[in-house]
Amino acid sequence: MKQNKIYLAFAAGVVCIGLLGGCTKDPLKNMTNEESRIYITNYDSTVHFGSFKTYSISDSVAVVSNGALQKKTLTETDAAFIQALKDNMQERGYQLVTKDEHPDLGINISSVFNNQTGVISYPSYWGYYNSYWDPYYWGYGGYDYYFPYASYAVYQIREGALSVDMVDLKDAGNDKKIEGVWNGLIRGEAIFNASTAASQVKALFDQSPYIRNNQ
Amino acid sequence: MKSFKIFLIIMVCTGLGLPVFAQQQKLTMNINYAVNTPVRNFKSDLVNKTSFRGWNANILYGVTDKLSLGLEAGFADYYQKYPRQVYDTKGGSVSAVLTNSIQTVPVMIKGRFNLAPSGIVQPYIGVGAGGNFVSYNQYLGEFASGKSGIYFAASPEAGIMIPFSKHGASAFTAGAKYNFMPYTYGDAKDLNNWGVYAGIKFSLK
Repeated sequence: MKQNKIYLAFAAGVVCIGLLGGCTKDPLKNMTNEESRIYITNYDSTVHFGSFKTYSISDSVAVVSNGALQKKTLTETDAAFIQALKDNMQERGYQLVTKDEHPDLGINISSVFNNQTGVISYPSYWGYYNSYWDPYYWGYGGYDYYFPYASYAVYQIREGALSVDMVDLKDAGNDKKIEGVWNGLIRGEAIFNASTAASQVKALFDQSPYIRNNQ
Repeated sequence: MKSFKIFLIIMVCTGLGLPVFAQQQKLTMNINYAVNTPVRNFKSDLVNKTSFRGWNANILYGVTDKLSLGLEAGFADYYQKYPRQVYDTKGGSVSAVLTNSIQTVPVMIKGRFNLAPSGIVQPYIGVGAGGNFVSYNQYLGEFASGKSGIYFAASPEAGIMIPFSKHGASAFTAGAKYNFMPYTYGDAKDLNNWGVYAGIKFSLK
């Protein structure tokens, strides 16, 4: 009888732990795709964005996997992101020109995937940047990119990231360096979606009010 | 901390000198559903919502008719999601929906003092002190960072027992406790909370 009571108490305890411990509210299961996304922007605070007048944007998206360029694509989604960037740059007062017309700013777009240990290091992304976006593309063969604001960022990764890099072409020439002046990074669920490309790019620009020519 | 020690010593000394009644030498188990509300820094910086996902359970041995000593374990799950907001970083900004998810599992040595062991309604006071297993994750979007570990916890309490029969050990229990839970990580300075609970107590021996 005594043993039965002890077993009963133990069973009650286990049920209690199972029921209530199992009721832990899982943040990932209580999150929409939109809520899962984060928008990260970094910029060189010494740069005056009003000094740039024109820009050009890459005609495709570089697909970078585990630090290596896989290919450059122009899918419907890629085109939607490129168009969204054009719309926001125009709204901020910058004039779109071809890359042969010596733009002040160049914009590169990359889809970044990492299948390694769930950790991504952005300095390594920028470390190999020349191999994704050869400065030759902008007419500056033999130059190197330089990102003064690159900071180390480690996150658990479940999906890819979309990276938008803005580089200063106007001042390239003296020291064989093309300086990155702004980077926008989008991470989270279902980011590669043409129907949400505009709102995602707008989020990057909304938190970057300093990108403005007509100020 | 010092006041907790004094409180515990007084409880033990007082209890040992009391006459022996029906509860002495009985081993009882008490299981309660618990609701916990963050206070102070925990409430202002991490979670300001009450947790309805909690329990506590103890096994106590009746040293005297009034004093019982034993072990207690508990669980509480705290969760809060903050709407999307832009946060400044060293070189820029991050826009994210921020979610705090915190679980506490205190495991403590427990003392409970019955103020009216022969009453129809038996008020009691008690205190527990021990370790607290904390799991804290802060999500920016779906990306988590956090810190888990074992910390100190202490919980003074007051409550009532209503026995189901005149001389039986089984009873309905209800009470309130303050959970003192130091913890430091990021903006967090403590996980202090107060809680109410209700459940049943029954004899194991």
